[in-house]
Amino acid sequence: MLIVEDHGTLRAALRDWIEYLVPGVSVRSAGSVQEALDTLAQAAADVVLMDIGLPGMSGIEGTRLIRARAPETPVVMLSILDDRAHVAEALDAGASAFVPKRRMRDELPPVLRAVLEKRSSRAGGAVSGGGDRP
Amino acid sequence: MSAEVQLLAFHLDRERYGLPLASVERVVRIVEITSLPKAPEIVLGLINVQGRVIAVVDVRKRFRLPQREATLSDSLIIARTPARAVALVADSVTGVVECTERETVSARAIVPGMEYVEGVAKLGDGMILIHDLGRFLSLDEERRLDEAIAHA
Repeated sequence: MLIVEDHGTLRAALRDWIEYLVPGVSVRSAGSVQEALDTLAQAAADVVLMDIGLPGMSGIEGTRLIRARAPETPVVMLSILDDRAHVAEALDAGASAFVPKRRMRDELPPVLRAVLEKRSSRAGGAVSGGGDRP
Repeated sequence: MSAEVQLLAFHLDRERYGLPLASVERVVRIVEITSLPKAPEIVLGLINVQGRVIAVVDVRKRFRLPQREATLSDSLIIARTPARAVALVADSVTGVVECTERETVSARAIVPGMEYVEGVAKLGDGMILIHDLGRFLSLDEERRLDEAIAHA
């Protein structure tokens, strides 16, 4: 799993939480889209958790690039901004799900489970999660 | 209309943090930090600011950032916890930023394990973690700090 989040303290807390939620998972992290692309070039990830507001290239653009390069890699977008426009933009960019940070503690675990299950069964399609789907 | 929140923004490494402006007394240039034997690990030592003795707390340790020695370019933010005034060593203080309550999210709603963070705010140029001074020192650390200062 790859976490793309620019704030180090939040990234570390998210990493610990994911390791607790998904025992045995290998978690890598990146602070920018470019760092994420470099990390994914070394080895693919089961799931990418991508913040929208990143320095330089946004998480939306990063999701487009990752999905273009590795269509089998699901991307779950995370953002403080959860208005309909941002949710629509994230899903349009190819995100499998959108989880608003203000409800992440409650909503990320079921979304992550669903994405991982879909991934393991090799099924396609978007996963409903958290945000207001347009 | 959502109320405005004023924060004093500061940097540790590349990360940006904020303290509620109402809890900040002043910002001063770094001064010599005197070690305090038997103080809890989170306390770096004591400073004397115009005759007032204040404990310097290790904010880097709380935020799980790499440790480093204080340098002459660092600043000290003197702020009030519910129990005492404390000083925080910051790489730099960037000034006051404002955000609305709507733009801030409680840290506890985001992810477990960020006890020292009150919330996260989205600003125009990035994100800021809002420091929860009320939770900075545990009751046990407060007690041990009181004892160490009493014996200093």
